[in-house]
Amino acid sequence: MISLVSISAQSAFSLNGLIGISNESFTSLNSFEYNPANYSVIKDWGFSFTYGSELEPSFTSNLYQVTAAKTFGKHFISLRYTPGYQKEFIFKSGSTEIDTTTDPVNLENKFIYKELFGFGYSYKISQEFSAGINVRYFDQIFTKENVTIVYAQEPYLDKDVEIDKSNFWKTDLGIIWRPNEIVTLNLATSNLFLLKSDIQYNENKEFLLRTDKSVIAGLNIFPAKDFNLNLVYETNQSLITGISKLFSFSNNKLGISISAFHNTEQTPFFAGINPSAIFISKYFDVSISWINYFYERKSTGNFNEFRENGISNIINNQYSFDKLLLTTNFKLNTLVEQRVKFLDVTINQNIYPALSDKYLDLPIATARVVNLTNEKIEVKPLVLLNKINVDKIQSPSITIAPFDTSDIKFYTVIPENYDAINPELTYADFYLMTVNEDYDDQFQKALLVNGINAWDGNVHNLRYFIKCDQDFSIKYSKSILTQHKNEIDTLPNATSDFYKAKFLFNSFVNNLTYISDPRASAEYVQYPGQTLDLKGGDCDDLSVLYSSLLESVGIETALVDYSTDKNLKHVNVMFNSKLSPDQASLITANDTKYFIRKDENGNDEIWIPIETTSLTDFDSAWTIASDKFQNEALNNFGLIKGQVEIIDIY
Amino acid sequence: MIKIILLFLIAVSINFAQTFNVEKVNGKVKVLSNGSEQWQEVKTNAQISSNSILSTEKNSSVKIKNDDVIFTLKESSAISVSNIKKMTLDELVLALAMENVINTPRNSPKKNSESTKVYGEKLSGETLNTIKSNDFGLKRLNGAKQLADNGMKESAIVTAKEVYRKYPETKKDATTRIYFADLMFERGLYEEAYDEFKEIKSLNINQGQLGYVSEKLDLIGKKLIKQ
Repeated sequence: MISLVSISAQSAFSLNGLIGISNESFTSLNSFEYNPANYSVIKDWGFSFTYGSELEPSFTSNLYQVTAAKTFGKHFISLRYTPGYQKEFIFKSGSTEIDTTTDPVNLENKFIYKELFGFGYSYKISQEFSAGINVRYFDQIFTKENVTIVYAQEPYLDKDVEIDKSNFWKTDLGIIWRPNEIVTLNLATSNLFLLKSDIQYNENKEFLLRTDKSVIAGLNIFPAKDFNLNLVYETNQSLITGISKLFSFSNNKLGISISAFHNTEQTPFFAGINPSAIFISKYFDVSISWINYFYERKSTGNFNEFRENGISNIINNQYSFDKLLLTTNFKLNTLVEQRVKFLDVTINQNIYPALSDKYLDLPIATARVVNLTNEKIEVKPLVLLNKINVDKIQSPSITIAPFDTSDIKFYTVIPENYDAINPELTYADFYLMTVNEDYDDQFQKALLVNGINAWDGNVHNLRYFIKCDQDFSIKYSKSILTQHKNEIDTLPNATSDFYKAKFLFNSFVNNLTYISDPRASAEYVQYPGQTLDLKGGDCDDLSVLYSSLLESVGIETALVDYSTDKNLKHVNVMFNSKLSPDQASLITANDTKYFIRKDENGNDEIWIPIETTSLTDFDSAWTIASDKFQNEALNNFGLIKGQVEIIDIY
Repeated sequence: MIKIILLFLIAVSINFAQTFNVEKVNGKVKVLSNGSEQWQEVKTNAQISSNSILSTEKNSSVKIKNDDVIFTLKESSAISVSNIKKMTLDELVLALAMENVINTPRNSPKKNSESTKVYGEKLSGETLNTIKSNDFGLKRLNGAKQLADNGMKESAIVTAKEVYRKYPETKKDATTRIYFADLMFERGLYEEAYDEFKEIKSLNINQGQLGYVSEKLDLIGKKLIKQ
């Protein structure tokens, strides 16, 4: 009679020693035993091979497992072939002889347990949470030799083998939760769903692998970087616990680990330990592990003992021998690994093409980005404004710490030949690049590109309109001053700039009319040539024109921004006569008509305010502007109150 | 000190558009109206606008009046009418702060290329009027002193600063500068007074003035330490 033996399907165990599930869990891709949720951090392909041997008198080496794994976005699958996951028991059941003259026939019973292959799938629900399923195929072959006497002329013994087979699929589910970098929890079933084939002989039912349902719970703790404590417990009262530590050097890691395992069928409490060492590089891992049992292993035993105690695990049971295993994992990454990612992009302002130089210093957008890697990376930001830029414009690179977030500024360049009159809604494509040839991430956002005459209302930015049309201004100014050559030549040299400014103003003033801006969402400013062509403009246009003409002949100018009345802003021009205060009487008897400013060396220079909207003559424009400046900037302290600002063009 | 006070003074409103009525004219008095280049004779009951400049010749004077002020400009003096106003000490501090802003050298000015030297006939007329303008500066300082004499010490200080800026030659007159430096000291503007006395000390002054200025510097220095 054969009593019940407790042989269960494969439970938590590890051949390669490292059971910590972490960012390094690439090592776990070959194991459904301690990683039932099939969690993996491989980016693309992974291959694993374990080769080893049981250290027994009849030393035989074996390929234990071959695994191929692949990640598709959030999906991960693995296929495992396990030729070495097998245990065979042979028991002599007796011998039979006809008489002493014939050789006895020895009879054997064999019990062979195999796990042949399996596959797993997991899905990364979020950065912290994954769920998986694994399906494994087991085979059991029981053979029993019988002998019968064949009575012939010479009776003989006829031995036949009774073969009984049973296989089954077992499916289990698992989840893994990594709330932070310190703790990882996993929970899985064991023998949740089973699909079995029937066994032929009832007597063999007692030897089938037991498939009692249980739950596997795992806890991984990382009290420090690359230091792991772990415990996997099964409700069938088996457990495995371990500790591991990785050391970084260059771009590689070297790790050591030791784990101890327990089940109810083996003694002492911890039946053995599994020390291992691992080398982890960018493209492959190699681990060597040793499974060492505390209890003395015997290669022989009796059937009754087998029958009474049974086994609980094909590769780890009381009949298992010490093992030495070499596991190699290869990572094959055919995908571009995303190293940096956009979180958000904020457009700082709409584009004003006229202010093109400004965008060299002022970012058009700011992006919040995150470093997805565990290493410091250099990120190159690029931006392409559709319909404006042909090529992407690269902004200064920044370095981001591992897993850190940072703000990146995007600058652009407006082409000199951009000439769209009307505003246009377009898209900006933002790119992030690291070491990859392709972009790590891309983000698109709409923005408004105004026409070339649009102005943001900031008087400081009128300088871009002044500088923009220099060729026209130079040509125009020279032609006017040439007409006054004789007068200029006879004037005191010190007053040259003053009279040039006077001639230039008087040259256009009679031909122009004050015209308000067209109604539009953005303020509108004409370039100098446009103002002369259109024969008029408002204070911005006329100030831009006059300043541009003066600057074109080397006369320094400044815009005077009046905001005393919030509802009625005004701008006019002030130019540098280059006269010293002692020379003021060369141009005026009235000391309220000029303003003294210091140059960069602290020398006093006389600046002349001009009201460009006073379209009568220079003297009137000077008088009106000086009166306004005297009242609002000086008498009312506008300069110190911020109500009047002098803005130098250069 | 000025900067701190500024925060509280920025909202100070000042009446600047004051028009004066000419009450009485003695001798030869001229006015340079808003932006005008032509001096005109001042007559009784004439209206004088704020940005006009009044100027008196020797043995002449003019009395003007508006709602707030009655002011007499004595002989050999000139004044910008906008300077004739009663200012509080806070307004004075604001005005001096603005003076500091105005006197700050410009940053990063455009570097024009060197002017090409002009050969040929020597140009004339560049220095003809400069001495004359200095005389007018002294007249303006006289006008500023009379503001102080009429109780408008704050306005006098501001006017003097403006005159020194527009007529730099007048800064060599140590006696007048000591007068206005004393006014600053008197108004409690110790830092400004100290700076002014230090500049005066560097001028070519006589022993009596030197002793006085040194004494003032010691006194103000002690007051500043206490602050």
